[in-house]
Amino acid sequence: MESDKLLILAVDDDATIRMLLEFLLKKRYRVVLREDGWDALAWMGEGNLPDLILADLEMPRVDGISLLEQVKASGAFSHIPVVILTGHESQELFQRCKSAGADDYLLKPFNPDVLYHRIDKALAAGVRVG
Amino acid sequence: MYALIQTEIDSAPATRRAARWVSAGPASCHLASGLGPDVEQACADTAFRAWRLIHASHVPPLAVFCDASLPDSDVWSLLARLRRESPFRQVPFVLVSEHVDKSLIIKALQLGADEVYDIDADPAAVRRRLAFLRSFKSEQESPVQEEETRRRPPVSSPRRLLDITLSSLGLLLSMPLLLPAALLLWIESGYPLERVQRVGMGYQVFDLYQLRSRRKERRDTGEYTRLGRWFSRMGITRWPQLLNVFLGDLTLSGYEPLPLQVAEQLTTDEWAGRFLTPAGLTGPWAGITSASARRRLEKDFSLSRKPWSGLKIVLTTLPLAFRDLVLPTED
Repeated sequence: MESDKLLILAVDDDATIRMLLEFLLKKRYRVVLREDGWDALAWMGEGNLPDLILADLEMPRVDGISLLEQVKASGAFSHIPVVILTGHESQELFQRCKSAGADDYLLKPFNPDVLYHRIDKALAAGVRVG
Repeated sequence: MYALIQTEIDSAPATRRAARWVSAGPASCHLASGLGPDVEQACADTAFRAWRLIHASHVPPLAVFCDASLPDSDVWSLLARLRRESPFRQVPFVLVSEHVDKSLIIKALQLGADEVYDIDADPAAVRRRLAFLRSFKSEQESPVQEEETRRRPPVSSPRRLLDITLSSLGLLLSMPLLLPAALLLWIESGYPLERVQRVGMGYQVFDLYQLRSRRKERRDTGEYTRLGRWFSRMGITRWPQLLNVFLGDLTLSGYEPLPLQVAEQLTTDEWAGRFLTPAGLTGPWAGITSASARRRLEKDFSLSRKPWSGLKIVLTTLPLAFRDLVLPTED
């Protein structure tokens, strides 16, 4: 059943990447798309708890790092695994994401099977609340 | 903005003596007291007394903390009062509990709370979160923008008009040959038409129509039926794709409509752009068998919004497009 599928919140400011992520993810999960960290936090603040957040790094208003920091500083959302998806290969960025609490870090271009594997791995490792 | 608010909180005692946390209940008071000595805090033992403390001040508190263990009516009525009265509407409301579970989080957030913390939450994280929430709530005037739900991005009207006109005309003109061909294939193998899934504009998956030319049970080996081979050589098998153009799945000239397993490999921003414009019945890729050569051509291929430019491509590549659908070879 559709409602049994886990819910992924995919956050990216690029409309085509959002479409791509929806195309890839909806085969296995329920997907909600938001275009930046601001919209993602607003949506979650209404009481919507995704099972995992997949976030780009470079976004307007609230970028991926800030989104990650807010999620991990929150008492309501810190249990949600966050996987960073970015086109920038940088050791410094990787370290920043890691120290901010990212559960995984994936570079574009990515193999869809690797994406599924990383998501499932982060979901399995995530702390469940309630 | 984030930094400004953080500064405001950090320098609160010097610049705004009334800046304070207000807490209702012992757990909230415990959590708020751990946030540092630089902001005054007012503790109350009931939600009602906390409300009186809040209301008595002209300056809204920096945040309100409330124990989840207080009677339900007290907790939610305090929250409702805060959300009703304009000076306090944007004050972050934090529910504090000894046991945080998913149902409590959802209920609290849905009723207008901003956070739910465990009594032993990290004070630095709480401060960081509250600083952000104050900034966030003050700017969050407009409702959350809903994600666009349209299934296809818009196609320019002249192009669509041209697609409908020419595909209708093409379908009408091809009927005298298409219908007998379909009938003969049906007699020969019992299945004249096949649908294959392709990815078009906006990553929308659609069924691409074509006459079935290969044996169903030996499709993997690509073995033609006797009539199928003949119709393929004549180029008739792809004519039903005019129906896809008529329905709007395809345009006359555009990027190649890709199989799902190929589309999902194009995961960089650079490639994602190709899915912003419609897939085409034909295009510069038509007749080229090498997949990498097709992709290279597409990189240089920028579709003009002028329908006549598209028509030029149609006229130059249509004969190639209507040859049998040659599957590109990966090299």
